[in-house]
Amino acid sequence: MEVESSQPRSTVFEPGLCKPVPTSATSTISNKSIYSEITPSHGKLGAEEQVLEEEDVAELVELKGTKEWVRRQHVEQEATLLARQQEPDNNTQEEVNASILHLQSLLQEQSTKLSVQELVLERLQCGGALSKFLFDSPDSESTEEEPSEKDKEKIGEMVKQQNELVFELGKYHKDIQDLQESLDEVKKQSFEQQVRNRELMTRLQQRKEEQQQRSQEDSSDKVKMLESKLEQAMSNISSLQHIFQALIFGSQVHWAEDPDLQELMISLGTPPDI
Amino acid sequence: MAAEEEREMSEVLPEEILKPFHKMPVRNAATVLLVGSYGTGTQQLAKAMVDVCTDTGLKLQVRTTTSLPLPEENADTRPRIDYIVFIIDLTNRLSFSTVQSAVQCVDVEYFLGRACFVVTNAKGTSDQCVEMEEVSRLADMYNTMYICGAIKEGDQDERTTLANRLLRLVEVSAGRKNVSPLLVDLTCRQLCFQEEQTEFYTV
Repeated sequence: MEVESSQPRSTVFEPGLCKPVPTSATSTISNKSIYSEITPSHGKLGAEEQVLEEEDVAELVELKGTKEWVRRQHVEQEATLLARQQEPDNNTQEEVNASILHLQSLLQEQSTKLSVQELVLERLQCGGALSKFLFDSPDSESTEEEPSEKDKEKIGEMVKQQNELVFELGKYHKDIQDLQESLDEVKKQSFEQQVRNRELMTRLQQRKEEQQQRSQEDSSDKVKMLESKLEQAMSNISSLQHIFQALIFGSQVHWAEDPDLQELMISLGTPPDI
Repeated sequence: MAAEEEREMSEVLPEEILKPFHKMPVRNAATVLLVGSYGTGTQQLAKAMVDVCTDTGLKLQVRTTTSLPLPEENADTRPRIDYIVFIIDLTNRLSFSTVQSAVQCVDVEYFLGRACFVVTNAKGTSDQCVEMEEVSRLADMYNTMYICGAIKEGDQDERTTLANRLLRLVEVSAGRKNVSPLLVDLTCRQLCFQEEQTEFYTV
């Protein structure tokens, strides 16, 4: 089976440029070998004819490779030619960048699509060959039935195993997807939390600063008040000291003869000092 | 291998510009041009690439030059250049200026996946006289990728790795692989033009 190459369209973007070789040269050999095992006549070919066939196959593979190479070169040359024929628009750098990005993403999309198609085709081919091997009964002798039954059983088991594995894979994929989604949500939430935290922190800092300012003002006011109170108290004390002194003088007591009174008079004379 | 004489270039004539589609390609053959000034290790890299290529079934021809444009004498016998490698040694200012002048002699088609820059001596920063930023700026200007590697005598494994990597790229541009050089170039580079990416998950 060969996949026909698509004709290049008259745009700059060439899907053919990224088209992979359909079921590359090596896989045609493997397909041929599957078919050759099925066909009953193959077993009856002589060794010489087998060698010749292998040589033919090699030649065919080589020719196919050359054909693909020529096709690729042709597509590249045509794409270059088309690109050169296009008139340059007076676009800004940004527009050009945007169009380049768009074309690049298109190119990637198309190439992935083609690769997926190629894989599907290969799978179908293998499936077709397998079903032919399993279900098409060859014209053979009865003695050959038993081994083929065993082979069928083996292949059946393998297919069952494959099914189970694929099922498991599907489950894991789904789990991974769910986990990914929950991870994304958690990240989102943590980000929102961080943003909120930041806001709160800024508010907290602002409040702290305000508080500090206020306390500074208060303290300066308090200090002044206390200082004035102190001054007043000092002046009160000194005036009381003078009053006491005057009282002692006025009482005409010989304060110099009494040591206690003397001490008192002297202490009253010294101004208060803190 | 062609040894070329250096020429002062004030203007590049149209016939001197190297073009990829000027000549017919050859099946199962590829030609690489290594552009690098003396002392950048072009000969060693050429030998490494030829050694690596012996098992692949590809007839590889490696040509080296110290400057572009290539002389006219060999123009008729010279095959189509499938891939160009510009070698920059970060400890050699001349290598950078050589490459800067050489890129002007190359057609823009080459910068769509048929050329790359190889940067050597990128590890040790003490001897470097060319900033990595300058190299990345040059690579961005020509929208071409650059590969850091080692070519000198003591780095056999790294040289082989680099040669292998370049060989893969050469095979793509020679049409041996199922992809076009443009697609490979596309997937090697980031799909954005230095846009500011929104920092959604980083604070």
